[in-house]
Amino acid sequence: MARTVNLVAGAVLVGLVVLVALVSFAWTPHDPLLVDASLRLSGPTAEYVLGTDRFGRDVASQLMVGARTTLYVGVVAVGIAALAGTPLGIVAGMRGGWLDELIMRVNDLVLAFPALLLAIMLGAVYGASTLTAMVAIGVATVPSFARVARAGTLQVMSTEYVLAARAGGRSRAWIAGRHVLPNISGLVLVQSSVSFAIAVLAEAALSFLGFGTAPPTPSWGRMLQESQELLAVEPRLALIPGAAIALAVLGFNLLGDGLRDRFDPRLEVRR
Amino acid sequence: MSALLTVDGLRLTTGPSTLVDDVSFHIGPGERVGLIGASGSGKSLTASAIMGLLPEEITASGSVRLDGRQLLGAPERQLSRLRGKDIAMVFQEPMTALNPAMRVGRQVAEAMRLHRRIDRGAALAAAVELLDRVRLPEPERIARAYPHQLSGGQRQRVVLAIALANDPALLICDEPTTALDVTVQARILDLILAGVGEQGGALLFITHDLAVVASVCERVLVLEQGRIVESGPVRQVLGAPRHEYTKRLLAASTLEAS
Repeated sequence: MARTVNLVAGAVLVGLVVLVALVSFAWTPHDPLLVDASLRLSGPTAEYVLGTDRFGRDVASQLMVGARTTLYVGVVAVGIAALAGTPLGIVAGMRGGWLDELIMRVNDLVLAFPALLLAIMLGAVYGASTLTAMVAIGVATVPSFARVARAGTLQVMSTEYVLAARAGGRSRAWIAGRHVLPNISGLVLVQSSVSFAIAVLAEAALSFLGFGTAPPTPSWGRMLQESQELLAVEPRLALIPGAAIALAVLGFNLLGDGLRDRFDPRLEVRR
Repeated sequence: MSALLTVDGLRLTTGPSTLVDDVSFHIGPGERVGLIGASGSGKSLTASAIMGLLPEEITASGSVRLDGRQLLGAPERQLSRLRGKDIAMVFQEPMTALNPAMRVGRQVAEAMRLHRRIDRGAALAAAVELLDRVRLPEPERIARAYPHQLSGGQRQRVVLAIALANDPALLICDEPTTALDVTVQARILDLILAGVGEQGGALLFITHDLAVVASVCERVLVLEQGRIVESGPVRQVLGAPRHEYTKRLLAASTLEAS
């Protein structure tokens, strides 16, 4: 029972973020970029539900469009990591030997390198933008996918149906596509959800540091950054995007945990 | 009568240790031979050597001939055409013998498509027929099921269906009933006998269960620490064992049964 709760709670939170992002394409209460000096730092009113920031922009609208940025970064970063990391892990697990050793040691090397440092470096060279942030987070996440995929592959490769396929002369690519990938897809999905949470957090941190999404595109991390000078005067401006980030991260983590409970074969026996 | 399978002076070594030493036996067409011995006596390794599926670190010498063709050291391409078609194998653990992410029918069909040029539809139809042959109820429904939806006995039937897919001349069973409970065991054994019997195939049955050997095999080989210590008709070997090890094996199994 408790496991289903994780899955449902995660799915609801993630669904909420996705819904808000989708709605923001069609409708926002106000133009999130519209500066109106007469409305500076207005508290929550009927018209401006979450109030306005120091330029008089509507916080609710910014939050909605910011969800878009968050999801965009998450999808692309996790996409890069999964598309590169999973095949690398499968190759390492299937071939073994020196190739396995090479892939996994390079993997360790990347893993040892902090994602934020990589992003700051890329930002310094190619200019800070959402794209460099996504690529940096994506590259830094490749090792976790490679590791998960390799571990799953090793397990699948030791089974007798793989032995039978090899004995019957099926090619490595065929075995990878038909036997290995379908059987590790659950693991990869779980990793995606967990990595998504990390990516959301990393994007927020980068934007906060000024190496992520460039102004004026709304981003939760930058909303947080812009609020810091006014923390004493108007804590609302920090709390709102902070809560949004926390809830999104929590949602993806819960979803990941819930999915893991569904897919982990060791837990399946007890179900 | 010329033998179907002739194993001559088979010796398996890894590094300094010898795992199987000077094992020689033959199996005639349609003959059912049991290979018994305690865990670690080299039963499964002998089977792997016949299938050409030895782990890389084990080196083999001697000869294994099927229908006069040398299998030991034969090129992989030649072996892969043989495996599953002329020699098939039923593994011990039905849990890991089937791909959990693939429907049962497709897995049986895949075994056929490895060796015959038939399209997917025809293979699937033949797969359902095979599932019927191993007495699975509602074979159409089972063919669409995933392995985890089947019971252990049903899974082992599917594995048997896969092994019988190409009517092999020699079926090797490596402890096929160890993971099953006793009532299911008997039925699976009947199916194995019927399966090889119908097509006049030979059987090499590996087990440590002497009762099973007595009910399934005509001839038996006793393996101790990689050497064949006794061989002969089942009744003779199990009824009047000559070798000390066979006697001990028999005594141990009587204890187990009581």
